[in-house]
Amino acid sequence: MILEINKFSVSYGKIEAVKSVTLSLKEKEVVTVIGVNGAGKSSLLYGISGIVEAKGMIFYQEKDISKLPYNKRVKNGMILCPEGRRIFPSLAVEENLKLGSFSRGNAKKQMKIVFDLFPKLYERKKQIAGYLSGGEQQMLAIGRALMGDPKLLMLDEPSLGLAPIIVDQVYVALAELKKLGISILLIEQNAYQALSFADRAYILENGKVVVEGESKKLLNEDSVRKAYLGI
Amino acid sequence: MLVRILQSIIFGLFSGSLYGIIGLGLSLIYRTTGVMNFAHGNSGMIGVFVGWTILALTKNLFLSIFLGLIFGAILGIFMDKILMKKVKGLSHSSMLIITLGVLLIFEGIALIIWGTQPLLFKDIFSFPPKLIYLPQKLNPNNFPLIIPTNDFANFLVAVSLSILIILFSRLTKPGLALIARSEDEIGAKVVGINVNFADSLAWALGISTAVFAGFLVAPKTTVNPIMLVNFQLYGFTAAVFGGFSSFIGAFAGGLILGVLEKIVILVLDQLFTKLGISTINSVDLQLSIILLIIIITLIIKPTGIFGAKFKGKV
Amino acid sequence: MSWIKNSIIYFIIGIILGLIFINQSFILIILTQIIIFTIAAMGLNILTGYAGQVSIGNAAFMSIGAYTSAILSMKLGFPIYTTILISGIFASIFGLIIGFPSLRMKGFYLAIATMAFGVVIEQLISVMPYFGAHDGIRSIPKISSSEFYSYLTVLFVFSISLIILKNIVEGPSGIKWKMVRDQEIVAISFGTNTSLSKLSAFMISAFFSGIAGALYAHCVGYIRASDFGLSRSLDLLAMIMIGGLASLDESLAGAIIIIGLRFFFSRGFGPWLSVIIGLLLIFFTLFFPQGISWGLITVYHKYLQRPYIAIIKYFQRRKIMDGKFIEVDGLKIFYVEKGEGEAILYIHGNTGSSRWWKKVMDIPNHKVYAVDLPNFGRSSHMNTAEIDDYSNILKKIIDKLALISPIIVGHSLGGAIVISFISKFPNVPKAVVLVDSSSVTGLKTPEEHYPIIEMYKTSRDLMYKALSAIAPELKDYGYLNELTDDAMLMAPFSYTAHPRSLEKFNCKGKFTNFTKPVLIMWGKKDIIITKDMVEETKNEFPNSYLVEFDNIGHSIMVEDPELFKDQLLKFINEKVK
Repeated sequence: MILEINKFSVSYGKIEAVKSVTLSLKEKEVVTVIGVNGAGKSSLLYGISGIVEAKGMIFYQEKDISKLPYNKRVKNGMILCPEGRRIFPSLAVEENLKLGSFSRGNAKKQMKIVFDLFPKLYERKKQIAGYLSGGEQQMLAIGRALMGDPKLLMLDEPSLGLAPIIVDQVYVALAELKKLGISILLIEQNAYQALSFADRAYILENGKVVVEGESKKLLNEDSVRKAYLGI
Repeated sequence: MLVRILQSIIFGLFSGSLYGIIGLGLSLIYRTTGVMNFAHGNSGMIGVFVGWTILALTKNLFLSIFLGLIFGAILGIFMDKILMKKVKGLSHSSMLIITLGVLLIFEGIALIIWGTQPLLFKDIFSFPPKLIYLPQKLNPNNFPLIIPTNDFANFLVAVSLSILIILFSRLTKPGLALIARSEDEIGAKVVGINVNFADSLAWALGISTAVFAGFLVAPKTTVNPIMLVNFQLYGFTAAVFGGFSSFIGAFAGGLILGVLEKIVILVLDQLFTKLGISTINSVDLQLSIILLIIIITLIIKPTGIFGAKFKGKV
Repeated sequence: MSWIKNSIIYFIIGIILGLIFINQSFILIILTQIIIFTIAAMGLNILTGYAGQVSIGNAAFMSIGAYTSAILSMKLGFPIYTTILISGIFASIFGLIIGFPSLRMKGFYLAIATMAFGVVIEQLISVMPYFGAHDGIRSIPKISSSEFYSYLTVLFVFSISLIILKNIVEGPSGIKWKMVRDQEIVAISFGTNTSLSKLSAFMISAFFSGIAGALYAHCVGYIRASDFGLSRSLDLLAMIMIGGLASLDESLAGAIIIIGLRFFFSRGFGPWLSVIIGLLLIFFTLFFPQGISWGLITVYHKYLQRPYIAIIKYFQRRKIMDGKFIEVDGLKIFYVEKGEGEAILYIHGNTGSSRWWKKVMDIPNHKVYAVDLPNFGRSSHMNTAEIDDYSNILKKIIDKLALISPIIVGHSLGGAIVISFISKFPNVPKAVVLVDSSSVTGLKTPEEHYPIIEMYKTSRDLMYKALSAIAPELKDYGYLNELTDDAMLMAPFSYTAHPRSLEKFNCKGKFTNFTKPVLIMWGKKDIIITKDMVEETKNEFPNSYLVEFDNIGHSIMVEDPELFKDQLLKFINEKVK
C-alpha cells in the first residue's frame, strides 16, 4: 500500500467536508474518487496532502504521517496538482516548472520528461504562465507536479473547464504517467472519463464514501450509471 | 538652467533610492503576505534607535548597523508570528487597523525609552562634496554641479542592496520560496514550500530594509520617533508606482518619484519667483507634492505604472 | 422613532451631568470635548463602519471645518452658528473631492490615499501664512464665555446629529452603504449606483467631521494644523473600534475612553498614551470587533455564568429523581414511567429532557414512558449527535424496555428523531404523534444564529430566554426554571451539532407506504416551525391528522398540558383504536 487513510475527516471550522473516509491505494495503482460538486473531493485531497488539517489515520508507504506537515509530505513524494491549477501567473513557464522541483526531483531530468510529455510547454517555455490558454495552464500544472518526481500523484479535476479535445490530450498524458509507474489518486467530476481510466474507484457523497469497487464494474452498474453518468 | 535640471535629477535619484528601499520592503511584505504594513516606518525607526544605542555603547558604527539590521529582522519575525498569524482570514480593514495600532505602540515605546530629544547619528560616509563644472557652452553662468559624495555613496549602497535582494529572490532557495509564495499560496504549498517560513522571511527582510533606510537617512533627519513616518508615505508612493507587482518595480518607482519630486519643486520655485510669492518656500511643499502624485496615480491607474497584469489585488 | 427618544434621553442625561458639574469648568471642558469627538467619530463611522471605506485622514475634515469657521468668523465677521454650518458644507465638498479616488480603489490603497490626504492638509495649512502657519490661529471667538453654555450647544448639536444620522443609516442610504461594503457585486446587480453611494458616504462623513472641527475651534479658541494630524485620525479610528463599527452613539464610549485618557495622561505620560491607544486598537480588532457594548454582553454570556452553571450541573446530575436507569450500548439512559396499560413513549426535543412531559404523564389506561436521550438530561453523553444515531439508540431503548407497539410522541427535534425512526422501523409503533416537529426535510438554522447558539452553553440566562420564547404560554416560572436547568445538562458539543444535523435531515419520500395514524400538533404562535413545514409533513404521511392551536407556541405539553392530553386521548380513541 502506498497510501492508506482510515476514518479520515476534514473540517473547515464547524463544517465537516469529509467524514470518516477510508480509502487505500496500492503501489502503481490508479484510483479515482468521483462525486458531484461539493461532495468533499477537493477537501479530501487537501487533507491528504496536509494543506488543510485533518483528523484520522493516514499512512504513506506504511508509515504514519498524520503529524507530518505538508512540505515534508511533498518531500516524501506525495504531490498534489490542486484544483484551479494554482500556477505562478507572472513567472515564465520554465520558472514555474523549476519551482516544481523545489523540494525534490532533479530539475533537468524531470524537465525532459515533462517536455516529452507536453511538447507544447517546450514551445512556450519562455512565456509568462498567466498568458497561457486554459489547457496549457492545466498541462503546466500537471508538469509542475511531475517536476517533483512524485511517487503518489494527486490530481484534482484535471479536466475541469477544458474543451473535450484537450481533455483527451490530458488523459493521454496521464496514461503515460501510469506507464511510468506513478501511483495516481485522481479526483473527477467527469465520472465517465475517470472510471474508464482508473483501476478502482470510490464514490463520495456528502463527504462520505457511499460506493467503492473496481471501476470497470462500477461503469456497468445501473445505479452508478444513473446517478453519475446520466445514462 | 540645464545645471539646475541636472542638479534636480541627481538629488532626485539620491533621495529616490531611499524611497525605493522603503517601497521595496513594503511591497515585499505586501506581495508575500497580503498585509500592507502601516507600521513600516516606525518599525524601521525602532531599529535605528537600537542601532544608535549600540553605537553610543560601543562606538563601533558597523557593528551597530549590523545589530540594528538583525534587530529589525527579529522584530519582523515577531510581528509576523505574534500578530499576523492571528489576522489571517480577517478582513483587510482589520489587518490595516492592527498595523496602525503597532505604529502607535512603536512610537510610544520610542518616546518612553529614548525621549523626545532628537539624537544625532553620524554619517556613514564622510567625504567632501564634489563640484563638477560643465563645459562653458552648456553652462553660461558657470554654476557648478554639486555631487554630495555622501549621498552618492548612500545611493550606491541603496542600489546594491536592492540588486542583492533581487538576486536573492531569484537565485536562492529561500528567495524562490518568497517569490512562489507571493505568486500563489496554494501553489507554493503544493511544491513543498513552507509558507509560514516564507511569510516570516518576508517580514524579516522587509523590516530590516526599513531599518537600513533609517540608518541612511538618520544623519539628516536625526534619530527621533517620527523620523520615518513621512518616508513611509514616500515608500507607499514608490510601491504604488511599481504597482506592488515586483520588488524591482517598487525600487524603480522610488527613483522616478524622487526625480519627479525635485523637478516639480524646481518648477514651482520658478513659478513663485515669477509671481513674486515669497512667503511660501516650495521645499515645504515637498511632501504635499508627493502625496498629490500618489492620489493622482491611484486615480488614473490604481494598479500602478508597472501594473500587475494577472490579478487585481487592488 | 425610537432614535428620537434616544436622542432626547442623551440630551436630558447630558443636561443633568452639566448641571452637576456646572461649577467645575475643567470637567465641563472634558465633557464638551468628548461630545465633539463623538460627533466626528459618528461621521467616521458612516464612512468606515457603514460604507466600509477605511479612512485614516478624517481629522483633516475636522481641520478644514475648524479653519473655515475660525476664518469666516474672525476675518469676515460671520456669526458663529452660520460659520459652523458653512464649515460643515465646505468640509463635505472636500469629502466629495477625496471621495473620487475611492471609486477606483479599495482597501489598503484607499487607506494610503486618505492618509496622504490627511498629511497634505496638515502640511499645506502649516506653510500658509494666511492660516497662521505653524503657530495656528489664536483668540477664535468662543460660542459663549460660559463653559456650561458652550457645553449645552455642543450637546444640542450632538443630539440633532444623532437623529439625522440614525435616520440616514436606517433608511435606504444605509442599506446601500452596507451592500457596497459587504457585497459590491451584489449591490451593482441590485441597481445600486455604488459610486453615488460611496461619494455620499464621504460627503456626509466629512460634513459631520467639519461641524465637529468648527465646534472644537469655537470651544477651545485656539487651533493648529498639528491638532488634526495623523494621531487625531487614529484617535477617531480607535473611538469607532471601541464603540463598534457600524454603530453611532456607541462611539460615545470610545470618545470617553480616548479623550478621558488624553486628559488623564496629559502630564508627562504622553508616550504611554500612544502605546495604550495602539493596544486598544489591536485588542478591539482581534477580540471585540463589534465594539465594547457587544463585547461586554458576550463576556457575560460566555464566561461570567460558567461557575454558576457548573454548580447547577453538579446538583442537577445528583438530584434524586423519580426515575430509573437502563443501560443501552454502554450508555446509561434515564427514564420515568407512570400508569398501567398500553405503552406511550415520549421523546423530548433539543435542549429537552423527560421533565418536559412531567405534566402529561397521567394518560388513563396507558403506561407512559419519558426518556432522556443520550447527551441530554441525566443520561450519559455519547460522541455523536446525529439524528440518525439517536433513532438507532431509540430502537434499542424500545427493545430494552420491551415496549410492544407503543404510541411514539416526538417533540421538535424529537419529532425528527421519530420520523427518522419510522423510516427505518415502520412496524414498531402503533401510531405516531409529532408535536411542533421539524419537518420531514429538516430545518435550516440561519448561519448567523450559530454564534448565539454557541453562547447558550455558557449562559443560563440566554437559555432561559430562549426557552421562554419557544414556550410563550408557560406561566409557571418555577417549571420554566427546572426546564432551563435540565437544558444546561446537554452535552456541550451538541448545542450546535443538533441544528447542524437538522439541516442535513431529509426523509422525504420514504413514507408512501406508512399507513399508521399520524397526529400532528402545531401551535400558531410557534416561532420555529412554520405552517408550510407542518403542511409538508402532513402531506408526507398518507394517514395523517393535523390539529392547530391558536394560543399556543412551540411546546403545547408544557404550555397547556390539559389541552395536550385531551387531544392525545381523542386521537387514540378515534383514530388508533
